[in-house]
Amino acid sequence: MCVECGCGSSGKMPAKEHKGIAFSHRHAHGNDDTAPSKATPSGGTTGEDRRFSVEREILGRNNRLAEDNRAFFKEHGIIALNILSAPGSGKTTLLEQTILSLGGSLPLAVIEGDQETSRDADRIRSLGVPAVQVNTNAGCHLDAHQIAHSLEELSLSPGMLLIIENIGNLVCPALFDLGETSRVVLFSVTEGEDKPLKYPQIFRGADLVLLTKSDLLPHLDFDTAKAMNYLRSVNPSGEILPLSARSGEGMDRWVAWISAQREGAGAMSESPTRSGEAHGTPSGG
Amino acid sequence: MHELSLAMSLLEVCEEEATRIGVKKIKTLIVEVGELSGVSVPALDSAFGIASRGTVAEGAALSIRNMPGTGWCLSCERAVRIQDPFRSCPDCGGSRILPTGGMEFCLKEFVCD
Ligand SMILES: Nc1nc2c(ncn2[C@@H]2O[C@H](COP(=O)(O)OP(=O)(O)O)[C@@H](O)[C@H]2O)c(=O)[nH]1
Ligand SMILES: [Mg+2]
Ligand SMILES: [Zn+2]
Ligand SMILES: [Zn+2]
Repeated sequence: MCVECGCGSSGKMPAKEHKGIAFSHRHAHGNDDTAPSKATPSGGTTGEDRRFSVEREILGRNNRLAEDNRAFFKEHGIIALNILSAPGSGKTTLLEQTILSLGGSLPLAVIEGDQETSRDADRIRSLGVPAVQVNTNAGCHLDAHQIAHSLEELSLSPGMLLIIENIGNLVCPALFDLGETSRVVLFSVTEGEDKPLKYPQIFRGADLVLLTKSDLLPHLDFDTAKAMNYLRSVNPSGEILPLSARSGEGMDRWVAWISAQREGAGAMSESPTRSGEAHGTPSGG
Repeated sequence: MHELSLAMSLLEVCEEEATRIGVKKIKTLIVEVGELSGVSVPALDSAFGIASRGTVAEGAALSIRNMPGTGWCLSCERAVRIQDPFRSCPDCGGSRILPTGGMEFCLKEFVCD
């Protein structure tokens, strides 16, 4: 059985009927042919005990579901952005301003992750954009399985922009691939320059870092150059963009970055997966 | 707290494997946890205790094999030992390190009656 949603062990769940394209979460858990299962007696019986060799990566399940999501996005030219930050760095505000800046120029949907309440999804829906709220309760991150179920609920169309606001947390979400096209990490100027050093894993995985609430800089002793250096030291290749959802500074460059992602979508079919990169062995030199 | 969902994923694998080989009760799980995996063993242990109730692994012991963290320093161009993913190179102090080992979170074996 699916321990997270309890939706049965049949291994198939009918996709909802949509006018656009429908995502069918094929429940790669339970009776899953793609899961290498190989419990075999491994000898060494002590008394009545029997030992079985299993050899299964536990995070492998999330990665398999993430690959399903990724393949689906790729097939339909959907750009999925996984937005990560500490609580209160300005994710929902950025989403609202982004929706207003785009002004209906492209099809959009939002998945909102929070431990409790549907407040953020309500904020997005009030702007006329379809949004699904995922409440994780005790959970501190979104996972690929929750995204798969959210995709079944959304009305999707080819070439759309899907924005996923992850749970406010700088640790766990870094571990869970959702199948996203790109990872965007928000780092607000109120958090102190050394955040990237304290939480390097999440910053290392970022394709883009947005230095948010830049309108507050005149009131703070935040050293932008220092923060940039710290960011570069943990993530030499990611892009960095100062931005204020309040004043609008940097919004044009952020919207241009999104457009570039969409233009690149067609050419990205050969890009390696995140998990593949993370476990890649350096090839000397 | 992501250990709760990790414990649930672990239990799901247990149920699958136990069903397949016709085992009713698991006594011990042998799990490899890498130093760089971001998995907290004490948190996993208590989450597992709660999440395992009513499953094939209820009351089972978690036997943890800690796997050392290793990395490749791009500056020194050699393998180095790293304790956590945030650490810099023990030799040059740089932070251009690719983790190469110690990321595992793997169910290796289980023991049944
Ligand atoms: N001054 C300033 N405040 C902001 C900005 N963006 C968000 N905030 C404020 O920061 C707080 C948290 O924002 P929210 O978008 O809910 O953060 P989230 O938890 O990351 O979704 C709210 O009080 C916002 O009004 C900004 O660009 N400038
Ligand atoms: Mg929010
Ligand atoms: Zn499910
Ligand atoms: Zn070095």
